[in-house]
Amino acid sequence: MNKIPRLTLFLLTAFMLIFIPGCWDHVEIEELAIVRSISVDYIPGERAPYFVTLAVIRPGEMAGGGEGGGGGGGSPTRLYSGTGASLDLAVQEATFSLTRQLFLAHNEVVLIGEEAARQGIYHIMDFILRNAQLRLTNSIVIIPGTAHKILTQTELLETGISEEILGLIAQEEQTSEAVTQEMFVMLRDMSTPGQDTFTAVLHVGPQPKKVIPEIEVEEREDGGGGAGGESGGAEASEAEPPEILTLSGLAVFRGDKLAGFLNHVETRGFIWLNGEPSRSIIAVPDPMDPTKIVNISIIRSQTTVTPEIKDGNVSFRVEVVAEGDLIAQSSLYNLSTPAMLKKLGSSTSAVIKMEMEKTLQVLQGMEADIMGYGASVYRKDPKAFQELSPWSETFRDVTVDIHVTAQIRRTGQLSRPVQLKR
Amino acid sequence: MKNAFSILKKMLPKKGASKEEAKPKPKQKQGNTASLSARIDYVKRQLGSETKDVIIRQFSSSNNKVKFGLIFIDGMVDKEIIHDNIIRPAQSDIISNFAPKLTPDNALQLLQEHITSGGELSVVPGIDQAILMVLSGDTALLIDGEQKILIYGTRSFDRRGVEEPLTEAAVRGPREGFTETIRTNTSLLRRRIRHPDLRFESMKAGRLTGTEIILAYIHGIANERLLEEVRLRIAAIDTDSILDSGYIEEFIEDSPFSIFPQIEHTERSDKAAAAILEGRVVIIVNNSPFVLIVPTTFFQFIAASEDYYERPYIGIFLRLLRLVVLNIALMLPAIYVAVTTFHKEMLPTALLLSIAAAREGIPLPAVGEAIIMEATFEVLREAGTRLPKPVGQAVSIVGGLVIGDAAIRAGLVSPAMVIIVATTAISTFAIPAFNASIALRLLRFPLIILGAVMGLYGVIFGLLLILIHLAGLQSFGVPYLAPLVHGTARDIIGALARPPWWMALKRPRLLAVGDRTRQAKNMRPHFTPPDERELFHEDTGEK
Amino acid sequence: MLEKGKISPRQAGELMFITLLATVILLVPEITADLAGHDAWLATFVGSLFGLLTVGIIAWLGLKHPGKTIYQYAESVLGKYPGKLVGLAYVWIFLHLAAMVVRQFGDFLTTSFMVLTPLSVFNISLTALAALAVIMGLEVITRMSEFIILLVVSFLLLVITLSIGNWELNQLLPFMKDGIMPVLRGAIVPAAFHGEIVVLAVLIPFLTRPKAAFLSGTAAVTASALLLTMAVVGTLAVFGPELTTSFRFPIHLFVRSINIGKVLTRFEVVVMVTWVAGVFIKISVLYYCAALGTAQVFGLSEYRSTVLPLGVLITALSVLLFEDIAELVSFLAQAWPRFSISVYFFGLPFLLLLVTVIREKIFGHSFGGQQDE
Repeated sequence: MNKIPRLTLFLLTAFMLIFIPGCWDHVEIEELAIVRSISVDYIPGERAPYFVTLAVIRPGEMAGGGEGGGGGGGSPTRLYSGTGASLDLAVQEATFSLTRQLFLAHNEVVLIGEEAARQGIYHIMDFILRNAQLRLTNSIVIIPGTAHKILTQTELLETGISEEILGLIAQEEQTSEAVTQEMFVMLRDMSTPGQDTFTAVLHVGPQPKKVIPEIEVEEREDGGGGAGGESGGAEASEAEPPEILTLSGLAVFRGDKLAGFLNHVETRGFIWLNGEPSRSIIAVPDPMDPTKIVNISIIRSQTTVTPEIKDGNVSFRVEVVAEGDLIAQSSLYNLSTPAMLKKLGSSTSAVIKMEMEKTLQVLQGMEADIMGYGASVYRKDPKAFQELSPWSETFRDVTVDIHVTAQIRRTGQLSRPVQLKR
Repeated sequence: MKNAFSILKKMLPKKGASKEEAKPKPKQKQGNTASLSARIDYVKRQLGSETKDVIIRQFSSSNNKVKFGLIFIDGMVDKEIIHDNIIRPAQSDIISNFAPKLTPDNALQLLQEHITSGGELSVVPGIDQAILMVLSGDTALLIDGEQKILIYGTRSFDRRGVEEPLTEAAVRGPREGFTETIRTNTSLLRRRIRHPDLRFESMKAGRLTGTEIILAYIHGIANERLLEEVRLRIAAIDTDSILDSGYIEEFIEDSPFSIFPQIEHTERSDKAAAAILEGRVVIIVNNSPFVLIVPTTFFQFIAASEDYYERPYIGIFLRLLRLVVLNIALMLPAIYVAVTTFHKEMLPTALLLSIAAAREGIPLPAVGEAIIMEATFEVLREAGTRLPKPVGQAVSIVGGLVIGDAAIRAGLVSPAMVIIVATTAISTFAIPAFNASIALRLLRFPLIILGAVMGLYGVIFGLLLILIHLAGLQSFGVPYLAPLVHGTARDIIGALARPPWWMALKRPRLLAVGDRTRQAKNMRPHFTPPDERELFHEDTGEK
Repeated sequence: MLEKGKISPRQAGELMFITLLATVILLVPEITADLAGHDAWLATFVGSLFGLLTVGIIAWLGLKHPGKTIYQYAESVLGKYPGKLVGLAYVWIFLHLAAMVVRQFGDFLTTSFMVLTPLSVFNISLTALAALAVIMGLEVITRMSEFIILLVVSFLLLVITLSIGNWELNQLLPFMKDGIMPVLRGAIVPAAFHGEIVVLAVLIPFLTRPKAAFLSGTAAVTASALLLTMAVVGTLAVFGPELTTSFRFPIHLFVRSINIGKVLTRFEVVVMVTWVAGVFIKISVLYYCAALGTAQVFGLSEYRSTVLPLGVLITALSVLLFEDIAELVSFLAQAWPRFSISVYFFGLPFLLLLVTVIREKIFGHSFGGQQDE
């Protein structure tokens, strides 16, 4: 073969590439303003209602300072806010005070204030989807009140506020009191016929412990251990109770607008209704002594939803099979006998069923079918679903038949309660 | 451009120009006489009278009827052989009773058949041939009145012993490396393959150096067409000197402008033997301990002979590791530059933050850092290899530790970049073939630039360019990327992994002709061990 | 012969496979989901198998006219000038396809990865690379495809496997809500993409065993159809039909949605890189077919001299053919499938087949081909 054109072409292409003037998308890594979380608020009545805060990380302090010894004890997060008629405009305004190039690819949480959520979250999702940097795996969290104030929290376990929120989201399965959804899952729900979406709620407030007076009393009583302990306790009680973040409850949407909130007990009911993996501790009355309680830790559960369509009417049969462990009891009766465990199982079922019914009632009140019962009708019989529309109104009055079977499998490390001497 | 090429072409060796033509002809005739003194004068003129290592010894037979002239080169011959086997028998009646019968007419025959002894003996027709033989260490015996010349094989010179190869060390396996002496090398191969079909075909190249070249192959396994091609290409070499097999390599390779080596070389005798057994041709060049193996495919460069001596698992693991390492050595800095300047979204957040923190305050962009660090490393490496060993260590300490640490502390380069460069360097060392790693080292720089200009798109662009080139390369008609291309699944497994020996039933399909069977089927060891009691006799009398 | 290289049927199959799969996966999920909704995966599979029809005709023609490309036997079947016209039409379609592929990929890169870089940078550099491969010849392209197929397939399978955690297979239901019609309508686009197997008509004479052409074409179409269907199923299960339709490059967002424990995530750039490789092969094949065709139609002795002008043409077309990405997609969804299938992927080959049969059976003309097995 002729070698000359081959070689010249080789050289030509190589040279052409090298001399292409400029490197358009080239940005050095240290010139980035790395955003880890965004909060979005909506102030009604303003000309520029969207209020956006970007939580930008200062890498020097985040990565443990290194040898250069980054600034002494500064917070690793800096907040930049902006307002605008749309999200993009607000973000643009926030970047006016940025000395580095905005970098959103590592953003992982979008905090949406209550008012913004009521205005509709599709605008926010549109912003996320179109942006080449933002990822659709961003978690969405709804904040009662303003979202901005979450980012200003300083009482943190993790190094930065964004990490704190991400940590909370990662741990939510341990308690089953909130379900955080990724952006694209919410959008998928919102685009599926007969389904509404939801996501977790992030609260900020004082630690619950401090409001119970007995704890303080107890501390004083056994204060004989040392003077240091006493003075420490006194100091703590004088200080303002620090506010901390709690992830619990659900924000329920109808369409893309916030319809209302579920508290953490209702959230558990929803988890039963929806069949999400659940791991929580519930209290049931002691079968031997109704004044005391027994705690059951639910290990696994399974929910089956069957729509039943008859002459244009629809009803649902929800079956829950749950499996749990007895993890605590306050009475001394031996509950570890098969009969007792059966009894405990049925009372657990009753508690679960009660929680589910309560949640369902709330959701029907909001006309928000976040379990997607309507979608299951749509999948089974699209024509019948067509006749039942609008689904939100049908859902309000739909009958749901709930059956729960709970079984107590194990009793923890004890085979029976230790019999204390009288 | 075209002109430059035509000039280059003119400079390249032309086919068919043989060495004989280039030789000055008139002198040849003067030497071809039967007269001893004329011929001795001729030799003196030819070799130069000032050349002191040429010894010309004249003597006569015991009956004084015949005059002899003995020509040899001091330092290249075994003088005892000359003395005991040539001069004394010719001069003395005691040793041989044929000596008294010597006359100028029967001298040649008598000397050859009866008088002198010695293993190698040949007759050449003229003085010029004799001079060539003398120059390689043989001894010429000139007889007055006889035009034919007797040549005694008396080669004996100081040679390096067979040592462990320096460049290809192995933990397990033979430790015999090739030496500079071609006969030693052929003996190393002959000892490994004792089969009549092992052929050593001799050729010569180099007008001034007259270097002997031997093609070693197994008749019946090596492809005839391949052999013919090798012979043709070596015969076409018209150059004044061949000092190392590297010269031959450049004269016979397929794509002279390629950055990739198309001919493998080795110092290990077992590796050469293995290549011969696969159906390849081994080119041994005198005075070079490196023999060439043709044809060569790219994947040979990730194989080490030790892979075949240790357990198959480690062989497979090491092959795959080298494949990874090869990629690291080629593109890690480029990918680092591309990712940190273009695709930061690829990095895990924690890594992004630590790199960003480390790069804060670094004056250079990532490309600059990468190129400077890579270049520094190349300098260090070069300084280390050329210096004597003790000094070389000092260089590596000063270079690696002091400069590296100081550069980081001074904030000139980021620690991340140092890690990248060091990883790349180590990876380069982990490739068994030095000449293949040279190609990767050089290609790294354009890739870094491409990565800095266009991100990973640029890197993949560069890699595709390299791949186009590699896919177009051939080594003596065998695609360079074989057996990954044009290969059966079995070939691919054989190249990328290393199956246990009893599984490797066939020789590579692309090379060997005829019967490709390596071992019999059902060679998987499945022996029933002897009974335990038979092995451990105890003197208890229990039976 | 303009091309001395020979490729084995397996290599041809691999080459075809990459050629089919490289771009189809970028745009087809969006378009079929729009037309076929929940059943887009079925539409994709059914449509893709249309390629088998083309393969059948092409392979038959190739056996009937041994040693000839479609450009050459078009002349011997239809006569010199009509044949040349058909040949030119194919040269044009290959050029057009190559330009569209270049444009699609350039758009993809500028939309999703390098927003600020001008489109022409990618177009020129990809075409230049392909030009180099074309100059090096068919064997080189084939060898590269053997390398790249490993990358493309393994990354695609990896991505699909990793995304399973995100799947909600319910999104594929209800099955055939509105009957079979939407499925068929949705099938047209994947059918058009798999009709590109017509490049086999140019490659058959270079096979070591031309009889295996049908087999390798079938394997390529089936494998591509299966992998594509898997990808569409994955995309639908992750996003549902509505979102899939809204996204510009669903498969890209599909890869972006992978997030396993915040560790196995952020794959999209790696996938982009393998796609560059796949698209490069595709462009090279189309470009090669166009270059060889030009040489054969005009009776040149060397196809390499046509490479440069054709490259300039491809680059120019890739920039000029479409104003914006919306025009490109709507062209691909509506005009292109009908036009290309009715003329190039089915119409003309079928015409050639018909005329061959008529001339043989009725006029007793012999084309020197052996009968089918």
